[in-house]
Amino acid sequence: MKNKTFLITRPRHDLITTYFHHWSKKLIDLAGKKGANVIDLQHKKVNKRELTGRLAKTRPHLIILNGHGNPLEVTGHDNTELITPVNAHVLKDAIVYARSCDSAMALGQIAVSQGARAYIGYLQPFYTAFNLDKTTHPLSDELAALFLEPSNHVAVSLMKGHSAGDSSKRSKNLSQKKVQQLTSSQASPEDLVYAKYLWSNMQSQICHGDKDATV
Amino acid sequence: MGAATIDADVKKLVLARLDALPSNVGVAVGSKGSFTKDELATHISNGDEIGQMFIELDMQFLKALKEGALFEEQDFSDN
Repeated sequence: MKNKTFLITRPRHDLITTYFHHWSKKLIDLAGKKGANVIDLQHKKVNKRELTGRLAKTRPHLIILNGHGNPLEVTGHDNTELITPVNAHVLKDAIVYARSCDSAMALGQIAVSQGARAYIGYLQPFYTAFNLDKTTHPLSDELAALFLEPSNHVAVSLMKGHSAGDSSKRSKNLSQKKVQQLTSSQASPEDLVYAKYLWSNMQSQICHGDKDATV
Repeated sequence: MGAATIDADVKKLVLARLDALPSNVGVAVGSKGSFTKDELATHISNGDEIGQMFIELDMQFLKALKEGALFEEQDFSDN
């Protein structure tokens, strides 16, 4: 990642974006350790105008989009429109990981057709179980970690030099190991519920574009 | 057995599985929101959009469990 630029969006306007916000700090720290130039767009700065400007100026190699989504959109702070088919071209030449619901269903493929090297995202909603007693300290929430560690692993793998396709597979493998633990003979009925959500995230994660692309 | 009876039975099963969650656990689903166990139970009982989503997920997961799909190895390649 040395001499590479990494841009991440971290809106923080509801519970799950707050969790994404905190868990993404691990990615920022890792990128910094690897010598990357990190652009961290937070809170209200996660808007279309700010993002477009930063992307044009910095041409990042890796873009992580945290936020909500639907098949044709990733949103920013307060769920405002951030990336849609109209401006997906701003992702050109980057590898993108979108930690949002559904956007790989259509937007991801559109982004690739408009020049994104690869787009890793989800075809369905992204589920996260969490401990209601830990919401003020998301990083200490071991339940949320079940979901956010495999998710983070996409970006961690990319930063370690693995290809887009490989990074997606590594994340899915980590999810699968956790699902297998949660559905083992020692698993509790509670574990089976978590396994279901984690399995869904794993199944719906996909890599569009050049699977051999590296940062 | 009518569709309504099957639906009622399916809901009962989904609710029974949900009941395994402790009361201090929530589930977040993107922009749909974050839900406590009791809130999810209400959605499932009502069969609304959120409820249907969770019911469908339950059914898909059970099918995968039954077919052994959870234990299929992913094709993994190392660069």
